[in-house]
Amino acid sequence: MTLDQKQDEEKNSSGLTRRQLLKASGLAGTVLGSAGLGLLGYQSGKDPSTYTGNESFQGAAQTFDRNRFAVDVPHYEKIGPTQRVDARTEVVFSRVSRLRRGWDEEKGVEGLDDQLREYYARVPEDLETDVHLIEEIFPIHREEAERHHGEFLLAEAWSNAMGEVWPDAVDTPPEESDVPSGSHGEPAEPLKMKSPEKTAVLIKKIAYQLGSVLVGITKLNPDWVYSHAMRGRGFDPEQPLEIPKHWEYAIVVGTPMSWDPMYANPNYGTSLDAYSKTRIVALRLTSFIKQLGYPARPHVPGTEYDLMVPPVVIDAGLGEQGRHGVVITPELGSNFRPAVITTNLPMKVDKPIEFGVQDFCRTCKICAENCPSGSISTGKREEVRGYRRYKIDSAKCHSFWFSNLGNLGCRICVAVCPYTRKSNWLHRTALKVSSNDPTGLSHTILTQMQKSFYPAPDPRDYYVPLLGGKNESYRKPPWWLKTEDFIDL
Amino acid sequence: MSGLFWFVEGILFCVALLGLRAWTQDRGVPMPLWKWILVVGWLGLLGFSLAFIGTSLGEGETVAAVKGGALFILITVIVGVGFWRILGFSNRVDERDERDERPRPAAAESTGSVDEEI
Ligand code: SF4
Ligand code: SF4
Repeated sequence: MTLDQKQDEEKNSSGLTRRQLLKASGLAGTVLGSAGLGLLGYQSGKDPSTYTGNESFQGAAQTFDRNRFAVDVPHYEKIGPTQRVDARTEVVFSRVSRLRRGWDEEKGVEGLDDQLREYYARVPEDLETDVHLIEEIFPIHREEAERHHGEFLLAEAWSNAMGEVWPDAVDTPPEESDVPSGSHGEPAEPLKMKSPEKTAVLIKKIAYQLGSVLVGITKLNPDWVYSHAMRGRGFDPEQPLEIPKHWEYAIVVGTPMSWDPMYANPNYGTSLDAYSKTRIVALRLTSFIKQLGYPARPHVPGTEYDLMVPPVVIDAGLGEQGRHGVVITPELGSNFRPAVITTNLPMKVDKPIEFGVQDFCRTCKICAENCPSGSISTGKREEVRGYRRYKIDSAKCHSFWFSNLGNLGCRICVAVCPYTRKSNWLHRTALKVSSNDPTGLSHTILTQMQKSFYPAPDPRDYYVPLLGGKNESYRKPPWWLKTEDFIDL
Repeated sequence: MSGLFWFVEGILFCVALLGLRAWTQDRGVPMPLWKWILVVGWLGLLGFSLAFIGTSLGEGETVAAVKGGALFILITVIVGVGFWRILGFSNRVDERDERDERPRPAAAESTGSVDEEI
């Protein structure tokens, strides 16, 4: 017997030989090491630093390597004569508020103004939905709100508090509002910038410093500017909107909505948090550009903007449009709210990207299956104003927004989308796999896993009881929005 | 914290592999490189399954933890059983007895310092 073997056989104080101890330690190491990974996973699932976009205001959240997925032409295709959107009637918010002001049940469509009459003659199904909203949904909503009084009080209070900081954007014409005013001692002439490349880098850095989570730059495509402006923007809404020459470039900024309430849509989530933050960034960035001597104008949804924002976001290379009509970014999925600044400050522009969303959406359809109002198409992309995209029934979507309790809006399609996930190892890995898989096989597997592992309520249950629902939300609200745990109602 | 965590994880898995080495030696199972790769791959699969369950629980996605956990653990067990056979772990030879009977190099006998299997 060798010395090692002898030592092997000698029992230590625990009554085990050295080899037995080694084997037992090996087993213990496997168990503890594996348990450690499980615990690490738990920690990473809970970790607030995975609430993408809220970790840092230094640009550290825009991590996706877009260059690898850059394309020369965006994924939407021009397939016919294009047409600009008329904000007065085609933007559902403007249309319905006009309808509410002018609707008289007895006179019907005949009592409406020319533009509305012309619009409803063209799209009669929207007349039915919009009138149903005014005549049926609003009263039901009032009744339900009274019956469930206070149930969503904390959610509403939190959302209103987020929306409380809502600085006014511009309400005067571009020739007045966009030009540097001299209030900060702006130069009379635009400063000579060293190069468009350097300017783009600077503008992005400043946008991050101001609190933007995503930033992209593009040339402004005139097709995205409204043909007729909304009220209160300094344009005459009755006249066609003439695009100012200095709206040459568009800078897109954006911030995420709070993650936990967003998963508890439609009742507990809100867009006001992100809109408020993005609005502040946009107004500050506008001021910064003007101080370089260049004209600039902020377009800040949801209230004051002169263009369709999603296609500009796509052109600026921040993401692709999903089946639900919202832009999907690699970092935040659809969980973000953008704003645009138009200017003529020369900058190097970004390229649009394609990271697999079009292919994924073709088979996924989770948003369409979970949309309570049936507004999202399950079919193929089709021509909308000359471009190929998925069609959204915005009238039906808008109608649902006003039927449910809690915060205004719905955002269920944002919450259920597999791309709208926090930034932990699991979802980052899934994104990496799906973006780099040309076969589409991973898309099918991930979609099936999504449907089976992350179930959602029956879409009808999102409605209020009087409309046959149960006031459901996609996920339970975070503890700090449960009114019943804090307030005696 | 994260650095310390991975340091401890590294030590635990090294100890696990050393334990496995001792165990295979005692059973007389030869362990060429490809077998170690399979073992490490399986440990990775086990780690992924547990981390998936943990992450899903942390996210509050209980259904994902249960369904996904069950699926991945099942895959881990099936792959584990397959590997167990491929790696020859089930062919038990009473190695300690056999080893003791094998002729040993004289030098090793005299110095007691060489154990070619450790
Ligand atoms: S916001 Fe709601 S109603 Fe509108 S499309 Fe999305 S899921 Fe449907
Ligand atoms: S839920 Fe699916 S189909 Fe809908 S936008 Fe997201 S990936 Fe596309």
